[in-house]
Amino acid sequence: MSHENLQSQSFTERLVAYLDGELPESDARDVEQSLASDPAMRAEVEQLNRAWDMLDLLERPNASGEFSHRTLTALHVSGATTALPNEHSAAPTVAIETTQPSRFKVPRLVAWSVGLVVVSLLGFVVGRLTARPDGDVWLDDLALIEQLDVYREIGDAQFLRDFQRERDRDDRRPPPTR
Amino acid sequence: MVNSDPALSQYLHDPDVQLMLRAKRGDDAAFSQLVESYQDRLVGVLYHLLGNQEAAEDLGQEVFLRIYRNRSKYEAKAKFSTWMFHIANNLASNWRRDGARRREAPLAGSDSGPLGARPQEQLLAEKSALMPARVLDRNESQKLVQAALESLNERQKMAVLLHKFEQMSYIDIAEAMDLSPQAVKSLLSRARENLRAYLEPYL
Repeated sequence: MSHENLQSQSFTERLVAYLDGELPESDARDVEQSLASDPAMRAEVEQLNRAWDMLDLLERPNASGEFSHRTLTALHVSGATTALPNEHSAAPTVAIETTQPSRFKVPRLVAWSVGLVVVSLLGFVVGRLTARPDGDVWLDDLALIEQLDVYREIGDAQFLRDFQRERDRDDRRPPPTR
Repeated sequence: MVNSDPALSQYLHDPDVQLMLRAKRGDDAAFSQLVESYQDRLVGVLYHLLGNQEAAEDLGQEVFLRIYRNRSKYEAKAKFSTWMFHIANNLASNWRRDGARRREAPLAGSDSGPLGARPQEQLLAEKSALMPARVLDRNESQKLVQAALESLNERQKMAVLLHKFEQMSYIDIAEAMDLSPQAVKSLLSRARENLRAYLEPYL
């Protein structure tokens, strides 16, 4: 950087520091004297000020409405804090479950017990409905029961086989002529 | 970042320092109050620094998380806002360096901005359309000033935002940006000179 540039930079630095109210009092007085006697310097200061003032036109977006709630909830969920103020206590379910498990233990136990009893009752009722009464067995075997006396006289299967052979022989024999 | 001079107990009179000290002692309501108080100021600065609202809010949230996690180490040796913007500046630098979200918001000073990617040709077209001979409406002026701000490098931009929006002194900006007050003086001088040069046709 050339000597002139350095001088120019130093001059602008002083001028800007003066505008920003950051110059010591004695230096500020020097700058004011220069300004009073130098129209070009006054014009430069005027331009620097106007450019700076134009920054007031910049958009200044605010944080969205949920920002603080989201931030405090993030602290809560990440475990950084355990006690949020009341107005921010609506933390996600996962956070509630991890921080307050005992609140849910008893209801869960009762629910399981009731479920077990209901399932048992259902099983009992279904069993009762599908089971056949004893009388049905007698009906199924009625044909056998009606012939039970005859079957008892026959005795065993060999008798039946002999009886069948004899009937076959009689069938093959020619009928007697008259 | 923070001066270790014990005389700096002057900051104990800062009500926000008091809130932070309460948060340090476990008072979460005090911390909530700080979030409520500073969220708009923080997001407003980050918006111009990062280029979009979503990134500004994400990083703003991260700033508050960092502050909360480090609350036990907090000492009242600076204004709360200086400490907060120091963390914000570091996180924004990391964010830019990592480039993890660069595809969402390009950050090169000359080609990015809150309105999305702004290639140089687009800016030139806008500038040529905004002829100094005619009166600019507010929307056009706003775009022009936005483009002027984006023409600054990141450090100049941060210094300008802290000085203009937060009315921070050179010393406070120096603490927030890990610079000497003389470096801040040079930074702001160059920044104002650049802004003047960019906006000169419209002044």
